[in-house]
Amino acid sequence: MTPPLFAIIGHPNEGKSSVVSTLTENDSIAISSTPGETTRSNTYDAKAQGKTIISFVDTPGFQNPTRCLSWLKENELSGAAAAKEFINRFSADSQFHHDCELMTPLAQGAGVIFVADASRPLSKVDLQEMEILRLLGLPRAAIINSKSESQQNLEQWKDAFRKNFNAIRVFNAHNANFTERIGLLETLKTIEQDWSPALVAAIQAINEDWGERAQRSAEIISGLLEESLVFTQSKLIANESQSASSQKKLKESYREGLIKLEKRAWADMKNLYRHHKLSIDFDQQSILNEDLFSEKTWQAMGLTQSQLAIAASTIGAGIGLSVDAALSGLSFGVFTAAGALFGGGAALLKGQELSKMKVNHVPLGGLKLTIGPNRNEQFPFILLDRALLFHRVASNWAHAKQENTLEIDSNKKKGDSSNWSDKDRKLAARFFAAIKSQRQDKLTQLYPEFNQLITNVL
Amino acid sequence: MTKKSTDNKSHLRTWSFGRILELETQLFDDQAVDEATLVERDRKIAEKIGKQGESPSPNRSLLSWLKIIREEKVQSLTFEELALQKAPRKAALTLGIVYFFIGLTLSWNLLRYNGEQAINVSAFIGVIILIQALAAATSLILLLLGLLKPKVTDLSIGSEFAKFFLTSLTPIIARVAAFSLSAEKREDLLAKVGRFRSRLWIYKDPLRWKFFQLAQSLGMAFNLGAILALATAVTFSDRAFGWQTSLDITPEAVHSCITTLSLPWSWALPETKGFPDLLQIQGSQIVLKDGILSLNTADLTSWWPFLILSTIVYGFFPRLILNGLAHLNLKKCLRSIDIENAETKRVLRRLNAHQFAFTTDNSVSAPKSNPATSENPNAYRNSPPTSCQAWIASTLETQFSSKKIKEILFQELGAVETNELRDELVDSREQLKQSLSDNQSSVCFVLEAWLPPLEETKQLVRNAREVLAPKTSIHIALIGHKHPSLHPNFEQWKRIAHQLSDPYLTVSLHEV
Repeated sequence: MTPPLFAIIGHPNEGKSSVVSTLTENDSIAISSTPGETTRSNTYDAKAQGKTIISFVDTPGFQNPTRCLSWLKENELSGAAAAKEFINRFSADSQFHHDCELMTPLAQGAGVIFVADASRPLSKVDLQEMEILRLLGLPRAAIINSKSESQQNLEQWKDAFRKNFNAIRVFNAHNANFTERIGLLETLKTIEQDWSPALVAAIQAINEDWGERAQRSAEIISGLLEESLVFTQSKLIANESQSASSQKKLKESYREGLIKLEKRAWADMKNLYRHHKLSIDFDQQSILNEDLFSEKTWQAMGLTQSQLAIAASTIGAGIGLSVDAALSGLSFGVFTAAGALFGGGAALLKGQELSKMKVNHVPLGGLKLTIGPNRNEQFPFILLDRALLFHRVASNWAHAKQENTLEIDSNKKKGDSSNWSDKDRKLAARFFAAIKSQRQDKLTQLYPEFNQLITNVL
Repeated sequence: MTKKSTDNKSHLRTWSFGRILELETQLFDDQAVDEATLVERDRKIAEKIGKQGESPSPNRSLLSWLKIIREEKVQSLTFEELALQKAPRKAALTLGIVYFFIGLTLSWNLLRYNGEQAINVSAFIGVIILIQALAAATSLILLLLGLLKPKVTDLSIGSEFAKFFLTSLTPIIARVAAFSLSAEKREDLLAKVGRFRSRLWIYKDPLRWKFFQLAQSLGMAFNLGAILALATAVTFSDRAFGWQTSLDITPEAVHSCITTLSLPWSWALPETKGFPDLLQIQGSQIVLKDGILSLNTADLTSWWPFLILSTIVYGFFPRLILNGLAHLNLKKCLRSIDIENAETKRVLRRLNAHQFAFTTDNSVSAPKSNPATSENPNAYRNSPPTSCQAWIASTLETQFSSKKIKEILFQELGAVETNELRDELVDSREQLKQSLSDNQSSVCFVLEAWLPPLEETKQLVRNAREVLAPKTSIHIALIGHKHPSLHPNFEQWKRIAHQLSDPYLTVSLHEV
């Protein structure tokens, strides 16, 4: 099945490239506030599962609507043939370069997506452009891509659109998320019956692809937790006198190592969602800009002390339960209760401690300093919450958005995990404990469950 | 009157090339400054001009404005800026030194002598004298024709080449820029090229004379180098000069030719002193198979006075005369230069708003009673009401009352005659020609500020310029509801105004 072809048409500087960028998840498309950034028609493919499902042509804006309309009316032409004739007539005239470029996909029979910034007043040239498209008679939809929140002119635009287009949809290319993208494709289904099967297949492929990305993201997050919770760093020193300064350096290097692991996982997620420009150096206001170990991060992310105690008690109770089971119930569940109490208490006590520093003598002389793995019960929840938050931002970030920073209100934001059910939190705590204890049987058992939990959350 | 005060007075009367450069640099710098700051600066300058009690003709006001800005700048100039100011003069001097050494080296090479072969004077005359004499004669003829019929100077090779170069270069730059630069950088670059072209158009006459003068000065430097080489060679070494030919040219013919060429100095330096006589010419003919040993030494040294004198008379003097003529013409051009264009008018308007009003006959009227404020720079009125025809985009009337639009136009341009900008005017040049009256002092296109400039609107402006007189002001007034999105369009319109290379085209934004 040939993928449907749509030309994004409109007045200069209305956000045509932004629409293409967001629809094709391509942030390499040049977008600027200066009119005339696009000087040629360029085709971009929307892909899902490695296949092209729809093609969009980003076109330059109309430069001679009055003259184009006058020519079309004079020659009484319509359809793709009219576009072809127009190109033949004006291709040698440099003044009509942009108009010929935008007519090129129309000459190939592409569907039209007319983009207009409805926050500005409707002008005569807009009506002329709509009239040109109406005369060409190709299947067409209109997108209202408002650059500001002003609704003053919206009705005027809608009235004009109703007279000239088969479908209208509000679509802000700079904020559109996955659902809105799918919504737009659903709208396109209605403009031409013949294209409907291809668009249905495309929407299905995009949905499946999105599910796969969520699953892959869950794997990335699980992988990050697995690596971070067993992460250690060592250093050999000659004698005790170097110990204090070396310990300090090693602690810093350990933290940096954990930060690097987190950034790598974020970068993997970023690539998964085809963001190549989105920086992971966030704005000052963003909680994601905060260091993994900053006080602000630890306040906003992770679990509350009580949630943490409850989650940790599950692990203690689990250990106690196995002792009770070994004694065939003769202990009357005392070990289970004690284990739960101990687990919960330990979580509270170890709240601030990240990891211990071990100092061992090396047989051939000198000392070996080792830091890690991380024993802090809160830490995996923090790491998890930050990864989930990053995922949310990356997956919802419109590709047309040019700013490379994210602003998230850290005072209001709480980590996702604190809103989970006790059951989910306990599952997470058991998974973290399995990683820390490096018990492969437990890990094999819990990994699919935990992954499913994360996939569902995503 | 002291020399300094005389200089000061002359400084305020005429433009020099340096001052024009200074003016253009200042106007270019001003483009990056917001209007309110410029208004405030020029308000202070206008006060100073007022205190000096100068007669404020536009020319004088601009010169005074420039002088005050320079004086203020001098105090804060960095070493680099100072060096940059002197750069054109230093570049010309360097070029002069280069040409001097070219003349010196070329001449020295032509005078190379190894004791076996005499120096061939034909080569020296051909390369150093004849070519230059021909170039000087051509320049002189063009110059005289130009003085008699000014349009003929447009035929000069240099200006034709510059015109061809710029006309062909602009689309090439546009094409390359479209591929390699972002819209903003591309449009900025094209605006700079366009502005440069418009400046060339404004200053084409003084520029032509300036370059002509520079070319003559470089020619003089070349000749001085050649003369010095020749003088050094004959003073500090013993060189034999001779002539040779494979053609059937007799010494008598050569003598007759040399005598004719020597006419300008023969009255002071006759034969044997200023140029060789027939015997010396016969005695210095080189026959390769015989060598120079058979020739008389006195005959072999008889050529050098002729070479030096002909280089001076046919190389140096014509350049000197042409240089002088170019200087006089440049001065004449600068005296009569029409410096008023869209950019300088803006400066005059700012000065005018605070101090005095200029009228077309350069007389002074009373200070305005209601000067505009820096908060509302658009409120500055132009010269007294003029006959302006305004063409208003029909959409604007759906957004603003025609009274409001007229009010804006009155503030900007004075009295206007308003018309609807119909599609036919955009679509057809003929229609536009019929609609625009060529006796208008200015034409204004009133357009939607929320729309970026389109090719067809640019063409409308180009067509209007073709219909109107070359110096008729064309104004583009953009009107829109106050919104940040208007500013990128306004910026783009400003770039387009430069790109169109029309020095009498202005753009203004009116946020309602």
